[in-house]
Amino acid sequence: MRQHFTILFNTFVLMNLFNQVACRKLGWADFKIHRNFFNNFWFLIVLFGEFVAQWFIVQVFNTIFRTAPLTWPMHITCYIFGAGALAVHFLGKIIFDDKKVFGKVFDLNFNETNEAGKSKFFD
Amino acid sequence: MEILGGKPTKEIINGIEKWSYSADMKVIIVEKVQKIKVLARCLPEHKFALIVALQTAGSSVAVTADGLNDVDALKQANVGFCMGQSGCEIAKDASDIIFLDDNFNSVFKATIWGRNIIDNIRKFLQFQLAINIVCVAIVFLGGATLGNSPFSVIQLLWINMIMDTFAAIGIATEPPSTDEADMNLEERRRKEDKIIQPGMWRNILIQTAYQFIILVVMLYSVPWWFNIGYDLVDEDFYA
Repeated sequence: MRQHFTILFNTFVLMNLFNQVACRKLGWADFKIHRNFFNNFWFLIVLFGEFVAQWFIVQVFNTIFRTAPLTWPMHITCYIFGAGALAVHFLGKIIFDDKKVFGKVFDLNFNETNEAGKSKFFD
Repeated sequence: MEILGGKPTKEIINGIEKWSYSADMKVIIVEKVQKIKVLARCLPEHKFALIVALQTAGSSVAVTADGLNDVDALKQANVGFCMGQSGCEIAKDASDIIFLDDNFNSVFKATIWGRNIIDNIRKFLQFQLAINIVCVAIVFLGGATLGNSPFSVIQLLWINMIMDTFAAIGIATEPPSTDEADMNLEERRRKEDKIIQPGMWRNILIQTAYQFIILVVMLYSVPWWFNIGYDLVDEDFYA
């Protein structure tokens, strides 16, 4: 049963590591995640370190993290669903492509923008 | 006249003659402010009025100044730039950013980095909102249905490090993009743009939904995928 929750934990972390790559693009239809991928040295270090550390947490540091070593099919399942986060990121951009429609649907900010010109001068 | 690009001189406003304090000053200035290229013989009050008028018209105003008489303008502007070597102390105090090299080109650098900072905050939010919502939801669901958190305490600590520390180091330190198309000026550079834009909400919500659904399915069915099934509820956790 430790393997069960280790799979859960591993999948969750991997999904977010892939999501971390996808989150560097903000544009409405910006699919080019490879662009400027190598422009931040620290990002590469952090991403690589996280993948390596995650592997060791699952396979080696079992007592501290209450994990159990996984078999290869389990690892592959975790990585497939992890990379699925990236695929879903693209899929969402493809499906909700029409900015005129979905730009209003997803406009979820509830506070109004501040009025310009609120100054002491004209009061 | 070089500055005006050969345009007629009516776009030069003579501060002292045309502008004076009056009831309808606001109307006059807001009408004219879009056309003004040069403001001649102006008093500190006129600089101040020009800034307020531009802000009323919806612009973000940056002021570069160095003298004692510009303090009001520096304070009122959205961003006040001051000269580091030639400026006086009181102007430096009133300004937001000081040019150490007295070079006007630094304005562009400041703009680029300012835009970069808000973009990095947006990237960070886009990542962190998704992971936070999913993490809280799955821990709550596991606790409510199985009687225990699916993640142990140290695992949650590791997840927290990923979502806070490492994300801050990795995503929020990104340098400005050198790519004009990537900066995408129209999309998120207006003053009224919100910090979390519709496109970001879309990404966050889709990502949250995907991760949550996958984790819920896994929470209840993964042992039977790999033939390690057991009684989920009765089992003594962390035995």
